Amino acid sequence: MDITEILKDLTQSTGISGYESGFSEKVCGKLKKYCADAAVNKTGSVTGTMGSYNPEKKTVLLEAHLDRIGLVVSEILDGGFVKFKALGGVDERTLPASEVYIMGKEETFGVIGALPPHLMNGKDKTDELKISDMLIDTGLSIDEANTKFSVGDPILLKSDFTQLAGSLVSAAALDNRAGMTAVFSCLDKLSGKELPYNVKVAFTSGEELGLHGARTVLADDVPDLAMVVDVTHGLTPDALNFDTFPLGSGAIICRGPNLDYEATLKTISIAKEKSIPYDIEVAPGNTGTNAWMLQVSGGGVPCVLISIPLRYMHTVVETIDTRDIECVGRLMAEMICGGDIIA
Amino acid sequence: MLKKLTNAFGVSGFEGPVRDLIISEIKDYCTEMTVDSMGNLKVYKKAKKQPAKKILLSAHMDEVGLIVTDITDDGYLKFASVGSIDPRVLISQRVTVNGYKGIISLKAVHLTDKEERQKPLSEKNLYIDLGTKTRAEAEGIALRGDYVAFDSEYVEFGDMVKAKALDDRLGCCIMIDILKQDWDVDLYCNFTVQEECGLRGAAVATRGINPDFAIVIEGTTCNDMAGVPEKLRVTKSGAGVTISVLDSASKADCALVKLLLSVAEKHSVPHQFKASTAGGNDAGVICTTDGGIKVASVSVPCRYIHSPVSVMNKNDYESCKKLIQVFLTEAEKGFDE
Amino acid sequence: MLKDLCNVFAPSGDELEMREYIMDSSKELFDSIETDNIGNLICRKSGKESSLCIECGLDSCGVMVISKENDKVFFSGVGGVGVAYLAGKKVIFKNGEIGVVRFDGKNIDEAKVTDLYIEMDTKNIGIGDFGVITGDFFENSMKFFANDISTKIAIFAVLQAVSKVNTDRKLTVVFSAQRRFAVKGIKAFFGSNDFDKVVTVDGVVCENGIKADGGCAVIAVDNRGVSDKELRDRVEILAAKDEVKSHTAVANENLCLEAIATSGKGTNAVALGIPVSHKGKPFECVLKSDFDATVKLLSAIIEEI
Repeated sequence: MDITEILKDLTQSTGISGYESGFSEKVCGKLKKYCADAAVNKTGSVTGTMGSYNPEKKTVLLEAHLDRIGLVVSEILDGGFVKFKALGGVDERTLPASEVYIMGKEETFGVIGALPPHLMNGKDKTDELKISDMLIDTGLSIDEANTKFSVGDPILLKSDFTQLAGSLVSAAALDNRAGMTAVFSCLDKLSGKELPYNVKVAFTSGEELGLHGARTVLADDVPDLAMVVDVTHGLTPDALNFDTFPLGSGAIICRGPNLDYEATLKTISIAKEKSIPYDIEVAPGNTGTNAWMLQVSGGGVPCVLISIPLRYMHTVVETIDTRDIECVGRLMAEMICGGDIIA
Repeated sequence: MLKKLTNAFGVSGFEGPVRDLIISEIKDYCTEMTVDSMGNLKVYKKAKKQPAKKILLSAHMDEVGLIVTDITDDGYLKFASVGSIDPRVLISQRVTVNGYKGIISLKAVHLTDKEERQKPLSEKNLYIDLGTKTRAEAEGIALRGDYVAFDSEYVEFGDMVKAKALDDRLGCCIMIDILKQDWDVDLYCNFTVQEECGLRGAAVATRGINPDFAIVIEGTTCNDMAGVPEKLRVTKSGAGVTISVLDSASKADCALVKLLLSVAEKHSVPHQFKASTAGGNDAGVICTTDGGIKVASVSVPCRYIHSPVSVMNKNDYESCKKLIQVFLTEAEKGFDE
Repeated sequence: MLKDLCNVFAPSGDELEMREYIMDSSKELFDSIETDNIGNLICRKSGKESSLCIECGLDSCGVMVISKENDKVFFSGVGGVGVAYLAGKKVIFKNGEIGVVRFDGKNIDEAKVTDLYIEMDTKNIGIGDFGVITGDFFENSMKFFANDISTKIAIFAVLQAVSKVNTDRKLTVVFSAQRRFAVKGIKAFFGSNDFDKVVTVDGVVCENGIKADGGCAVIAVDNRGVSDKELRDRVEILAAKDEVKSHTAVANENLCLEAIATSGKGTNAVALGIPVSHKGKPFECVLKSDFDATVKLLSAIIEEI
């Protein structure tokens, strides 16, 4: 399985929070290779079961959110200028001078402008830029614009998939297409094997809006353990040490009240035992991931959170080390095959 | 019992020691007892005779505390707070981690200048001193993600009690005493987990019970020190059990509050209203469970709540317990419907 | 009816009076009406297969008393109300007593709610009592005016729409409790009731593309959630087909899209907004034409979606 190819395909696709349906269908198609019953639920999440379900066995859920942050058209003004709002926690500082596609009836190219330095006085240069002051320039007239797209249409932030040195890559939406790839990598390793657990998969919608899909993705079907895959902060020269992890650190395992105490300790010992590079991060409360909602679903779901270090989160130049994806996929497969992760 | 409970280690996410203590106390006094996947202890005591009202009582086992975020090269622990703690109460405190003692403090005041002393404090600048000199030594005691609790002994002074974790071991203690009595109601007592880090356990623990009424028993803010204006006091220590009307997480059910008031008046239980809409507790997640549950909170005023030296008035504790007892007594009679 | 609605006392958590008013004035519209544990008023019309639910709120923001001295009552805001909303307004309590919100300081822009007080007789007022801003409704040929009109205009629109429809389709209307306070009623109700489609109605502030005289605002995105795209598309197509004046917009306030979509098993929802001008200030107003457009669209949705 070529992790980079899958990653490239996923990051070049849409699936903006709240507007995931087309992408959900695509992901559903990919999941069918491993889960014959893969389906999209009414709020856009994709779920499936590997092989046939055995009620005698306990169930592990592999989970990663499928949505990506973006923008949405809020007003169409004279001169084809478009006001917009964020969908998810877009880093406003990175918007000026960026390129976008408005995903309307037609895919329309636009530019988020920037005030020329020549026209700025002292205060302009240092004031925080607000989304409410920004405009997308489509180069169209207001009438033309209204034929191509409408208020409420999602807007994709343009980015190219870039191979950097070694195994580092940069693209938008690595949060959480990197997590999804790790899940696919794990499924690939499990495929065709006799497993000690039922394995279910959920690619959940609306995470970036506030963990929306995770609150309803389980419906009545609560697993015995959920392995949540997401991204965490990668080390950069301007970020504190213990909060961030160098790319290439492997699987970052989270400890804290949101995660199951025993299952997490077991995860750490499996990583040690199987010589999978790992590190530990700590969340004193809300991990900010779907684990926060899954933990309190139904009668309660023990969760383990494994993350991939990622630099420049919520920008179009997110950067990861593909070897970390491989580590996470491998760790999850070992946890499942070992048959010893659920009390 | 309250002394044992408050001295026990039970930071949100690691309530095992408190749970074990409670189980050993109540195991002979209940019909059924389960521990769910989050660690909530759910106890059921069937009514002596049917038909009976179904009443849910809920108190949380966890206390605010700290979690180790990093170990430094020279053997100190960095931490973050679990639940909301004012960093200023952490200075010069003793803590326990994995059975060992540690100290949190800052460099001596002699070594500071005026500007430093005036800067607002952040827990990011604090550290725990275990006495270890190297990272390896410290790692022998604690790892990233281990929990840390205040080290503060239970003390009685005058009418008052000082201890850590009165919020909400006092609630657990009251529920233990209630369980030791027999009732003509179907009694559910939920000892919940992780209330302090976001009302987490109660939502899960409450599902499937569908009680007629639920009462959350808590410790609540008391700001009645000298010099504090009346409108900011919230509750008064010694004025009795506090009934909450509305806080940041829930609105108490009108009918249930009326019942509690009339029962309190009928049985002469000293009581007061919570004069603030700040703070939240498990009622916030109980009220929307299973299509909605009629819930209210009764609390004991605790000065210096969320600190190692929380203080309550023993009489308020007794009033709170009495209110629950007379409420259950009236429930047995169907509230004279 | 709108005038009466504006005089009903219904703070978050104590909506009894509003439930009683709706029951008394509209019981012939529904086959069954019940109240659940949290105070939602659930109105059902039986009929042919349809999984549609219409939702709007019962309650208004207000204040809760935290202390009193002499002729001053100190309070906390309930439902996210701020100084600008409260200062200088008349507040009415459950027992009918009325006071005025005062600020004695110099700089109101920097005032906090705890700096305000209500000037009134305090003998019969206690800690934990709730008050709401008085409605003070009036109308002219074009517009409705009242304080805090959003809740009332939504209830009025929903009841009007239901009274106008001629359909044998099943319908559930829920008037939700504590909508202004943490959306508790919605979370409880949709947490254990499944619908395919939910339409939620509220008054919305005219800003950022939401226009007075634009007809009904079909909300694509609010401050915390997104309307289901497919459902919204169907509503927009229906509005065009039936020539109902409407415009699609993005809202900066909470119209409960998140709460509905994330409760229970998950639901597809769309929010309809009635444009409210001068929201938050004394005498908010709604154009009758915008109101009529919303009623027309709601009726069409009940009959056809």
